[in-house]
Amino acid sequence: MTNEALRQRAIWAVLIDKFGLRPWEIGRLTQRQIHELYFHPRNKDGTIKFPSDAQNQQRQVPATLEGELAALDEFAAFMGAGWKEKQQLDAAKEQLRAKYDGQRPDDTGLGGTEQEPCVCADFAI
Amino acid sequence: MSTLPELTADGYDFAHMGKSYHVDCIDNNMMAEFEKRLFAKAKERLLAVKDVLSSQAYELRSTALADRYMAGEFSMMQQGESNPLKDASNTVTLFSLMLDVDEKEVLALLSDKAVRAELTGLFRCAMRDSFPGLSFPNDQ
Repeated sequence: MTNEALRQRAIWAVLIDKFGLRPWEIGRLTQRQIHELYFHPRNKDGTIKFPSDAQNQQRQVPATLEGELAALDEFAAFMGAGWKEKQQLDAAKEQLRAKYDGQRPDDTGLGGTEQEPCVCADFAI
Repeated sequence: MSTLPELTADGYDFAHMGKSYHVDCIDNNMMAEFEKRLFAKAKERLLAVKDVLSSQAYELRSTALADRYMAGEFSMMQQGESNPLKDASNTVTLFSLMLDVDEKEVLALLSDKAVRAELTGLFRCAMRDSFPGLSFPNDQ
């Protein structure tokens, strides 16, 4: 028996042993489904591995007031007439501004509260 | 990179001269059927020369053929030059399984240049959906 034939037998045995599949169910799977779904890369604890955090961070744009306002405009345009009503849009923008105003004392990352301003409070925007 | 077709592996539709076809992805059942068809063809070829062989020679060849089949030599998963898909006639056998039509119909379809181009593209898509990391010689 060739190595490939032996390897296929081992793969089917794992599918039966670990995943409880029956031979006729494995028969309906493609090699790619087996490889990419059942043998999907796993973490040491056996959980499914997702794309690394580093890859996710590359896709994320750091949140800023300007960025979120632009995203809100984009979202409003996408949603159409209902969201384009100025009142709703303005209210949502106000909420965003309030959110960023509230964060100002901590912007530096050095701590501080309204009662005890942080050392860099004078330079806060 | 597509996102889901390779995970659902439900194949591709194709129409020609008013007839609808479906290009199936290659699952393990189809791979097993492919091996059986190649074995059947090899037996037919051996049977065709039975008259010119001694009974002992026929028996020896027949046993050797069965051994090759049992060893998995007709599997499309064979590596390198021993892969049966290196032989164009075996590829037609595979296409007939993927389209679920006989080999004559596959050859008729492939004889039309425009159809061949479209169908070859669909076969490639279905094969890519079926096997991990598959590439073709003229891939960019």
